[in-house]
Amino acid sequence: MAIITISRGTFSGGADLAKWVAEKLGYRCIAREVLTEAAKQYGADEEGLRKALMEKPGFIERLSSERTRYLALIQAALCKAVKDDKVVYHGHAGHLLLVGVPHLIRVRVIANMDLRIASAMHRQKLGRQQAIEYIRKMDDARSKWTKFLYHVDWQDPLLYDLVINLDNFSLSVACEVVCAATKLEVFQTSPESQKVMDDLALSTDVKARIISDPGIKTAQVEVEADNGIVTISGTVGFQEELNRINEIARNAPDVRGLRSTVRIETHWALTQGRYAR
Amino acid sequence: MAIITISRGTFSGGQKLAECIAAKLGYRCISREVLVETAKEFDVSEEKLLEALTKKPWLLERLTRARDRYLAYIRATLLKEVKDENVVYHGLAGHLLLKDVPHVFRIKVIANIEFRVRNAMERNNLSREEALRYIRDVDEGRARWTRFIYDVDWNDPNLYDLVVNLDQIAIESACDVVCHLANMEGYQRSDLSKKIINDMVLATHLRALIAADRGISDREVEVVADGGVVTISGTVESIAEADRIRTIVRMEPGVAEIDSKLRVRLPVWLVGSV
Repeated sequence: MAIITISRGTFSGGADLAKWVAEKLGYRCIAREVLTEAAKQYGADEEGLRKALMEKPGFIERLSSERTRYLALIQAALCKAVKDDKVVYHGHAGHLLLVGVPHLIRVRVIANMDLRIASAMHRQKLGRQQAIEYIRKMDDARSKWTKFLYHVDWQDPLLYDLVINLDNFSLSVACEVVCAATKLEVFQTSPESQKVMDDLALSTDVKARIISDPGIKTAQVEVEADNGIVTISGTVGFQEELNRINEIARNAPDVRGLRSTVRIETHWALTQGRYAR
Repeated sequence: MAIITISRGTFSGGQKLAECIAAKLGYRCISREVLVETAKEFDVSEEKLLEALTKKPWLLERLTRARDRYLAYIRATLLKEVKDENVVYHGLAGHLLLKDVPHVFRIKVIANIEFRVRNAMERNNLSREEALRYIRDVDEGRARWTRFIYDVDWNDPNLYDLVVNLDQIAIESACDVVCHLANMEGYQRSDLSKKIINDMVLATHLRALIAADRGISDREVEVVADGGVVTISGTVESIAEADRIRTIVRMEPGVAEIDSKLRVRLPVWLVGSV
């Protein structure tokens, strides 16, 4: 039993592989559903979530925290979706959003440009030139996205456990490889590895609840969880918001205890902006 | 499955994996043996061959032909080694030297730098800094070598069929996965792939013989075999050279027919006057 993430360039055959693997192992297969779930659970707009996950960062984006907020919501929804195990996720950034989970198998699928172009032309009814442009654009966006948010090179094979090249392998062979990997000792779900997953799911859920709450605007917090005990650290602008944070955390499902080291710290901008009182 | 090549950075655990796979599948495991064999057959020193495979290219190297010659020798020997037997090759540049050979399963092994440094410190009795420097040096050399000789990026995963990261996956487990794959249907030798390999053995052998003749400027000469029919193409400096190449090819057993498309380069003064 394991969680499998399949990362791929557009039209590399990764989605098909995910379906095959899921079918063969009797796992669930998810991708975009996570965005819908995130939107529903935390009341965010799906389009914004989609953009945060797919589009490359804009020029002045370094100044805004909007994308990290969206990603926190997506991460929480993804953790919830995969924490019960036996699942294949072939949406974006799975290997990054679920980092640290021991029974996570990070697979990357690659294919040469000709294969990808042929697939794009066939499926999207594009001309050859259009297909090339489309693939280039998507690859470029993905690569910039990863560099910007995680400071890593998307192509770096060290980010994955297995990189499978579909140039010479058929999908069924690739599927065999992944299925063989799920049988390896190191990827078996154990009570300890499940605890890591549950802790991650709980901490990301509490954080998502805090940042999506309409009453909280000034919080800069980090959340950790350890067997149901949640620790929140960071800063917040006002006492009311601090109280609200603690209330949210205490009422979140699966929280057994709360430790908070959140300090009140008023940012200079808040003293004169619309929050001033 | 017939041929498995294993590429790796130095101290990444590739050798252990190769040995494990070979033992489990009953394949022959080769690496340096190819150089020993080449040295014997073409009467050159092993160090020179190793240098051709490892030394970083230097500035004026495009003007000399030594490396091309050694690589042609190594390629011919390697092809012979993999012709009839099931082989795991974990020497240098296997996936490139065996380019276009059917049923080659190209594996690359990677590991994070910590793992490699520890490995290097243990095995070569190095300090941490020395180990780090050593690994960086070798990596850089290999990257430049690959870029220079084959014009590809050594780190590009597209050059391999499967990249296995040994951070999580133990060597024994990687070995299991590869063996499982190798035993799958569709990766056994077929009559067609046998023919292609035999053709390539002949072609690389002839190419090595041409390279061995110091009187021929052979940089642009290509040899392709199809059954006993050998096609030679490229540009040489004189008609005498072209004749010499044809003689070398004709003398070899297994060559039934020669299709020569060799061209002679026009001298500079003649190009100018035309």
